[in-house]
Amino acid sequence: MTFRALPILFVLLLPSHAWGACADLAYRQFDFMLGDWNVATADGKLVGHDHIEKAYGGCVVQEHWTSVDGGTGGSVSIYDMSRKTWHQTWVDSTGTLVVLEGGLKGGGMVMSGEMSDGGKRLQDRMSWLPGKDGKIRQLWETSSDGGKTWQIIFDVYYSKG
Amino acid sequence: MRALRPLLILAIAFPFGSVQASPPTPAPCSTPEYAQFDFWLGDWDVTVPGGKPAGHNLVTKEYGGCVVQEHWTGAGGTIGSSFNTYDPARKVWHQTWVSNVGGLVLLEGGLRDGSMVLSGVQLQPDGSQLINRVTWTPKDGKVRQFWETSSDGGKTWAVAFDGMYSRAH
Repeated sequence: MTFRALPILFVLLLPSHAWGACADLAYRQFDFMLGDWNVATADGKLVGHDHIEKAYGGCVVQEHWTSVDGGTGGSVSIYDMSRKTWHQTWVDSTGTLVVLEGGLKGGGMVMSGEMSDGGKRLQDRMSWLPGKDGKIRQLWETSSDGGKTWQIIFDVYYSKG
Repeated sequence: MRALRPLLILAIAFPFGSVQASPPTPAPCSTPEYAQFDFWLGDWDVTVPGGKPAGHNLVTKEYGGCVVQEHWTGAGGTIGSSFNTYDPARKVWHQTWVSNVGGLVLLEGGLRDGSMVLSGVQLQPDGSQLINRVTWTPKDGKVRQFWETSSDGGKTWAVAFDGMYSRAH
């Protein structure tokens, strides 16, 4: 009995977040996006609301987007322990599919990948950059020349709603 | 914050045909391909061979009909979800699966002889590569989900999951 009780005691003393399959600290690297957000352009024009929560046993950062025009979108982001890489899949009501991978970089999260826009394949680079004022800038850039030049197609700021 | 694609922004800036010469734009995700996976939609009880319950799956159309979304509750406590959408530029179906056991599964493919067949390579924690191949086949109001894996590049396959979907009561 004594031999068994000791390890059980140790398990009971662990903090609760250490129980699940996604207990590693890396799974929390994107937690700075969690919350209810108003999303606006740099000059203050509201473009939508984003609700971002931890789901599926703390393994997934799940996004629920509603734009001011009524469009909806969602994403799941997860740390892939095998490849030490963050992944995001984004889908929305205009038919966009964006598959991004990356990780923490210079205090922000940067993921890149490809998307289809009409018949074209574009490279995407998405950056989430926490600012000192509590806002988070989300910068979406695309490249149609294999990453040589980048165009900003979206540049917005998240503030707590 | 990606719902506003450039085209959509134009649509907001110049709504309702202010550019007179432009042809009517079809609604997003309205082509027949987007309906190819609709046979999976529903509220399902899932059993493994022998009839033992494997779990419950609620599969719904979301995001303006663009996405088939799965909400899985396994009998063993696994909860997970997937996004499934058609990519018209590449003419492929894509699935991203996530769950509370931490696995990320990325699959692509399409309809083949009436079945949806999606596959993808998954790097394992030990560095080896696992191929997942999942086949959904509708038959007599039910759907069979047959999941195979290969760790030798597709030469041999092992059955990872064989689930029969019946409408939940």
